[in-house]
Amino acid sequence: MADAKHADFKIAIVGAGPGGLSAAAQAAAAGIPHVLLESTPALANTIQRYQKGKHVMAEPSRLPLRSPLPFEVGTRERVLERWAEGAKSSKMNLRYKAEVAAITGAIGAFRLELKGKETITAERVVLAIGLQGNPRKLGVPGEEPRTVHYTLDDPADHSGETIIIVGAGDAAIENALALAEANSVVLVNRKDEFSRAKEGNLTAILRAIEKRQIECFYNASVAKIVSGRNSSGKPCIVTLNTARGAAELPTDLIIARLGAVAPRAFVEACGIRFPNDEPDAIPLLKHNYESNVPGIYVIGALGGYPLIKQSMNQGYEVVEHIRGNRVKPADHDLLAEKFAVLGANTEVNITLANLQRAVPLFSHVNPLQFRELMLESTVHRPAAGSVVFEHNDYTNTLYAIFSGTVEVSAGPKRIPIKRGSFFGEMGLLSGRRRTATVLAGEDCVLVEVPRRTMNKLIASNTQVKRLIDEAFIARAVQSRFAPNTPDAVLKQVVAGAQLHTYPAGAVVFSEGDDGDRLHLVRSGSLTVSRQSRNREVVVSYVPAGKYVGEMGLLGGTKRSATVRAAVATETVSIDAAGFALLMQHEPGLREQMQAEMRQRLAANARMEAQPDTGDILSFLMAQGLGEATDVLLIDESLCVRCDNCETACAETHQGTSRLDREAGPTFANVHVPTSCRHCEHPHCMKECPPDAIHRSPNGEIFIADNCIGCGNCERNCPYGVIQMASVPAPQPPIWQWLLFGRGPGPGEHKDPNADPLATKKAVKCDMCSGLKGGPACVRACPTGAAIRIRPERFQQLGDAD
Amino acid sequence: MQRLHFSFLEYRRSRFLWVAVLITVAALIAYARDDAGEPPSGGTTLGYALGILGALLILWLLAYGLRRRSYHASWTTAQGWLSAHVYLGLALVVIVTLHTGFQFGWNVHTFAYALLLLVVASGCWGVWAYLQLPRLITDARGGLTRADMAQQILELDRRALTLARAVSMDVHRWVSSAIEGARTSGGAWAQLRAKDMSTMVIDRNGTAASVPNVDQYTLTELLADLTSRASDAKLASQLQDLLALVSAKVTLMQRMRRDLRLQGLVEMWLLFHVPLSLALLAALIAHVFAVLYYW
Repeated sequence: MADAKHADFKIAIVGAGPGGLSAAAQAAAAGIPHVLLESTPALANTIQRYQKGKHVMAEPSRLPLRSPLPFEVGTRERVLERWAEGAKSSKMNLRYKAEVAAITGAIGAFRLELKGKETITAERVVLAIGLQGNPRKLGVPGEEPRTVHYTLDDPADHSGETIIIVGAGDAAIENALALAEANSVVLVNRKDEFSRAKEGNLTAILRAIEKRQIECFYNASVAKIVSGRNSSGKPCIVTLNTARGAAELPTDLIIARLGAVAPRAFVEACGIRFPNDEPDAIPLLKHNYESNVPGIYVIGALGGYPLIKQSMNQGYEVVEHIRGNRVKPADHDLLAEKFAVLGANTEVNITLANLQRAVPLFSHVNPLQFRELMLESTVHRPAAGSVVFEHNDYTNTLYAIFSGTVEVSAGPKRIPIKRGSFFGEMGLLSGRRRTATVLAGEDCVLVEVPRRTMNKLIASNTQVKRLIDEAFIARAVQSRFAPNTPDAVLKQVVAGAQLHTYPAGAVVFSEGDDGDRLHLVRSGSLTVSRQSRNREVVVSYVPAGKYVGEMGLLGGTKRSATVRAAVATETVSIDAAGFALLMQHEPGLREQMQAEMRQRLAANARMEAQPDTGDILSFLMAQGLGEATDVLLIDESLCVRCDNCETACAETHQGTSRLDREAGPTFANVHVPTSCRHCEHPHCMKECPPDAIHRSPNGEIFIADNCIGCGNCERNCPYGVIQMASVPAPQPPIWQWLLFGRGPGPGEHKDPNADPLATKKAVKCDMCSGLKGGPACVRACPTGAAIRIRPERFQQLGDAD
Repeated sequence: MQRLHFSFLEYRRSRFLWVAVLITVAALIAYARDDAGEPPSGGTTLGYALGILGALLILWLLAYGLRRRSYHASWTTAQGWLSAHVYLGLALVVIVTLHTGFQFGWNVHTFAYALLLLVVASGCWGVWAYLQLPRLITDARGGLTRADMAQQILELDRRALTLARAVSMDVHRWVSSAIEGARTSGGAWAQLRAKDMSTMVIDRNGTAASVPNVDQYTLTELLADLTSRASDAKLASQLQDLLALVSAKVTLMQRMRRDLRLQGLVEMWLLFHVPLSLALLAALIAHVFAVLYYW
């Protein structure tokens, strides 16, 4: 390049994580003048922050690695060690403690200003800074690496020390609890409560503070740190500003867990644009990872690729692109394999472009993101007339029609869906059963997108979200109320429809309000309650797919009940005018609604006459069962506490019971034990790195064998039903155990020779999906106390007496 | 609207009650209409038939113990088996009574019959316990698990010791000996009576003596006495705090003993039912063997 001599380097790579290291190694191998700038004193900061001995996975396992650096499954230490060796042997130009403060200039002559006034120039810049950001510092006099840490490597490294932990989030609390076992721990909280902590951590820390295992200063901060010799024998004296004035504490170590400075502001300051303000938005990138700023490339987690192997591949590819070499991405063969079902021998990139063009929903997605989406999706070519999914299945993927048509079989009617459209959004959004059976038409090619991939796309792309919402509203209205109404009228009604989001406990409408809208529950659930004899009585529970508020529309009267969100809930509302239009065009709708209203009024009156039932319903809702799909309930008036349910669970699940019969609250003899309730939108699925948690067509949430044991699901489950358990040792045939004493024998699930540090995997209730006859806990209960039920049947509770 | 939970007696609309009634009525009719030309006994044709039916029923009833532990069994439920076990067990009494032809004597046959009655009687006790006691257990627990109770007691002990140390060495000695001597359960009998076997050590005329400390009575008396004589306000208030901790512990320990007592009662009948059942099996074998041998 002509201006090469004006710049110090051809490529400046920012961030020595997997992507940055791989890029630098490739640049070094190709003999390109380059520099790798790392703000911290060590490489791969995010992975350094993993806990000691953590098992690092090499997902997606089918994707080949292309990088001059080695990487394979192993412990954190082993992975880091091999990278350090690789960085050394590749002779890359790596600079530690070089934090980039700003990037200015343009392609051919970028200026990277480092903290500490130095400036580096480069023709191209590769941003590989990840998403973790830099840890927020205390910013007080005396803060130095020896006394202030921003992570805790291994709690077992400390004992008998005085340790100050600053922060009020989950990281601070978890560190404090882990260290308090063998150290004197002081927690410094800038606020007067722990508002950001997860429920489990909150309970644990408050208990530890109450028991004086941990001393906590609220409304306090660190003022200064003085290191060096002092009379206390501790390496430093920390001055705290507390609510009651300054306090001096002789201290061994300060751990600051104040979160991180998100990198987005820095990235935007470089001129890179994000499509929206969502926190997980991803910058718009071209197929060669170049951003909207020519010459600045983005790879790795910041570009939407959180997995190590992907980042490393991109590091290699981005350097090759800059060199002007055309490289087929590493996933090329995987995609070619996926597209083989299409028959035509078309180039992968062209097929991708065709797919994207054929389906308007995907036309708003950037090509890289679409490629990623296709990698996780499946291409189907079902025979005409075959079933795509069945009514009442619990699957939750979204299908797009690339060619041909499908037919939705709703009752006796068959509604066609055309090429380019999509379906399955109801199951995806509500987390409930499929509302109809879908049959494939002639020459039909479908793309099935998994739930997680689709949710990620919806969250990061407003246009995709809008299209899906609109389709959901139109189809929900059509299938619920107006299968025969002409499309033009339907469009008018949908235009007046609104989407509402309610946090748990929020009021949708109150008794006595003017009734002007009908709410169809899209996800979550609602409770209906009425004032009766000066107290509020819950009279019914409305799950996703059902609606409330029709009484107000039919009679045009005041609301007869208060409706609240039982859990985080979304509804679609139709206004009175729209509904009147529907009733005008849909014969029989008014009569149908009146009949349903009559039934509901009668049921409400019965419930009101039995306030106990309403109280039980409120109790169950307070336990978060509004988001359950199947829950274990024990009638304590029948339970003889024999724990045969737990034994049965352990015996059918490798020795670990997935239910705790005794734990959990009880109300009016209805006991909710600690056991999975198979939520509509499972919290455990949220941050599963290998995407190992799924819902089976029968509805149960299960953890697949590719669980990496990271424990995210255990922490994310608000109901504490997931445990980390050792992988059971295989049992030899029983005669070997009898004759030669080879273990483990029957009932002995622990292998005495097992490595106590071996990876534990997450285990939870799978509703005994492998067993005929249903859950073992229920079948083993001799007295009939244990049952598993769907929440729709809650209202039957309490009718006993 | 219908209920969600059904007890084992109501299982599937009590279908096994009807099965049992049917068998019983059939046996009674056959017995009433039997005209074998000899007095009714186990030796008539009907007697043999009833005997075989009874023996098969006994074996099947015993199999419940195995079924309850067959956790992979898929096409029946433990509840269904228990329901059938109870009703058919009751029907067995009628069948076997008819089998005897009311001919009793001091022999192995009548012994087996008596054992059967005891087994069924202990089973009835079990039915009563299963239906009546669970509610009482729930009430006794007051929403706490046993681990919660133990945890709370430990916590009260810890606070009491800290406070006692601040008061005086004597008080600390009392409190710690009362903690050491605290018992939530003794032997089986003490457990069933929920009797407090706690003790503590006091200083009596210069020698240490272990005395009963039922419901922490001794400790409470000692502390109350000291409180009434306390000269300064701080000491008095510390002692009163200590008394409050002790009485909180007494409440928890009573609750725990009541819970253990009920749990003991729920399980106690099994201590009779199971060994008697096995004895019955042995007696049944002896009975059948004797009948066939002396034929």
